Amino acid sequence: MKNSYETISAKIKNIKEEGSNSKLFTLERPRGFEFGVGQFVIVSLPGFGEAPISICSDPNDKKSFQLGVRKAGKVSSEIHNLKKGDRVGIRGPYGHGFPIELAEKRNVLLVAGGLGLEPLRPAILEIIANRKKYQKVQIFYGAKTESDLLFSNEYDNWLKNDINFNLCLDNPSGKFNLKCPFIEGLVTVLFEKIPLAPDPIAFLCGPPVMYKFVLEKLNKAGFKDEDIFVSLERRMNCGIGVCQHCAIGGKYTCKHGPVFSWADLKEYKGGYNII
Amino acid sequence: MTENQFQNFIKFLQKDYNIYVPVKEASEVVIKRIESSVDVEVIHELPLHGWKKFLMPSCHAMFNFDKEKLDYISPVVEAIHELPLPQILLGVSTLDLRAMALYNQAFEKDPWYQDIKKKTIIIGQSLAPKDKYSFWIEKFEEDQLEHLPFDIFIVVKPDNKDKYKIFTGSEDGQRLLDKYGDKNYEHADYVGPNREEGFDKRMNDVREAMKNKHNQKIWDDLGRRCIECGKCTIACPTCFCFDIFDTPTKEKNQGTRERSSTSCFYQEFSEVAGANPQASKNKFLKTTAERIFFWYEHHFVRMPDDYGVVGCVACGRCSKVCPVNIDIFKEIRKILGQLEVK
Ligand code: SF4
Ligand code: SF4
Repeated sequence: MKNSYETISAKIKNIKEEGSNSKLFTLERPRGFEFGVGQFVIVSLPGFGEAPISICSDPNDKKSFQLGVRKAGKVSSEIHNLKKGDRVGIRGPYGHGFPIELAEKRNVLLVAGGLGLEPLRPAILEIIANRKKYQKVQIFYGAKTESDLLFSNEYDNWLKNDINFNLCLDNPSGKFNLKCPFIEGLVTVLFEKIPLAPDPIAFLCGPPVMYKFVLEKLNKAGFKDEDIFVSLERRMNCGIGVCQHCAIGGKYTCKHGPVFSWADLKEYKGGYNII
Repeated sequence: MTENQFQNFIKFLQKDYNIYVPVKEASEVVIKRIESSVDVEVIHELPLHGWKKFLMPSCHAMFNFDKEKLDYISPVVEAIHELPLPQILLGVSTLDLRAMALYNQAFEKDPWYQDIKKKTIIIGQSLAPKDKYSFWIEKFEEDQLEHLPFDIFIVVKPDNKDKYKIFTGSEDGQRLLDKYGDKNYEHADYVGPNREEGFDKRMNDVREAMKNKHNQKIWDDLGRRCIECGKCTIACPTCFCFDIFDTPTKEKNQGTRERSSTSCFYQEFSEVAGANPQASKNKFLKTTAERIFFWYEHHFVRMPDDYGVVGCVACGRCSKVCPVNIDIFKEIRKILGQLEVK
């Protein structure tokens, strides 16, 4: 019997500062390790514990994969102390990510708030790798301030690949020489300023408050609930739908999620607001 | 078997096993390891704290670790603390067998649970508790046996000379009886937890109502009464939520990864790590009402959806231990719309 809690070892090939308080780890991709857009792994750091972290790199890259880790809890803080060449345990990948196959031949809208850009980056990279498969692609990305921005050296490349990238900063410091233009305010202001491509499929990832307002905007813009996909964060221990920490209604964030269609999510919530 | 033959059989089993059995003690029924000199009495009453700690210790080591390497640790069951022998759980009611069926499904691929199961013989019995919750409990019929997981089952017929009618449900059970030299048993092959017509209709109605007829008044009321002590989750034979955490030793990079049972009523249960120091923002079950709804949802929605088994076996333990007298059967009737919600 395969023990689901056993981990495989992955070597850290590179570490880079990315945004504030957060680092981008490039790891060797273990043999047979395949992942989809928006899936996550559980990283094990014996002595400190385990933490779910979404994979933020291109699924087409067969040699390595990347994890963006913000210092938040015990495990993530300890991950920050690791050095190039160190090894970590991983298990997974887990869950259902963004259904990128449904975006083929369609207009695509990606909405990210803060760290939410991480699980969406695989979608962006996949779109660039197979650009012809997708129609008009728009990104709405909101961050607090310039220093929080993730992957800022890649925006040029996204633009070059005919991706309509739109940035807003809630609290710009003006201290950085940001090449990319931005709008001041929360991600919702982008909906007021930027015209949406017709009938798109939307992938969302951000903090719960962002969902509340963005869903309102999408609803007003006439999006169908089945065309909206949302990635959720929950506490997780087992990663395989047993321990109950990540349950939402009748489903588990680790197993049926972390990405849910808004149409399904609406059904799951019983009497409670899930976001 | 007659009373005498039964007692002899138990004494025979004691040579190779630690035997645990529910025993009446003052006002409570507790599970105790029996001494070889005493006769065993099969009783109606359920032990207040059920069998789950014998099948899933409330805390156990999963792995020893050394740097990033994990080494599997075999679980240590209750029995081994007392004598290093495998265990027999004797006198398990049909209710608790149903709870075990659910555990078997939930931990089907869990190596620690399966390791413990391998060292455990389960002997069920037909007597049902006679208390105020009894109306939820199905009367025992022999045709239920193929839906209950056990190694040996004893149907108790108090008025017969052959007081105990013996069934086997596994090869282990057959082997023990053959070894003892009693061929006078029937075999009931386990065909799965549910009858052909699906699971218990009454419980299915609760599932439907939980999913589709949310009445916020019920949960607001429970939210006001419940004090989030978590006693119900500890007592309930089907509750199994757990945490996984590491305990380092003084040696650098060494220690154990452990699993311990937890309760959805505890504050940390739904917390995620976050840079935001306002913890409430990083917690997904925010109110008592949400927590108790989550608990009911696990039993009546997720357990049936995940395992095809109802998550409540109607033992009444949660209600017995609740310090604020929340009676699950009253609440179920409210959920079903059979009792007015004030
Ligand atoms: S009656 Fe209460 S304790 Fe017993 S199985 Fe149902 S929910 Fe659990
Ligand atoms: S035992 Fe009663 S008060 Fe305690 S958590 Fe359960 S329902 Fe709430």
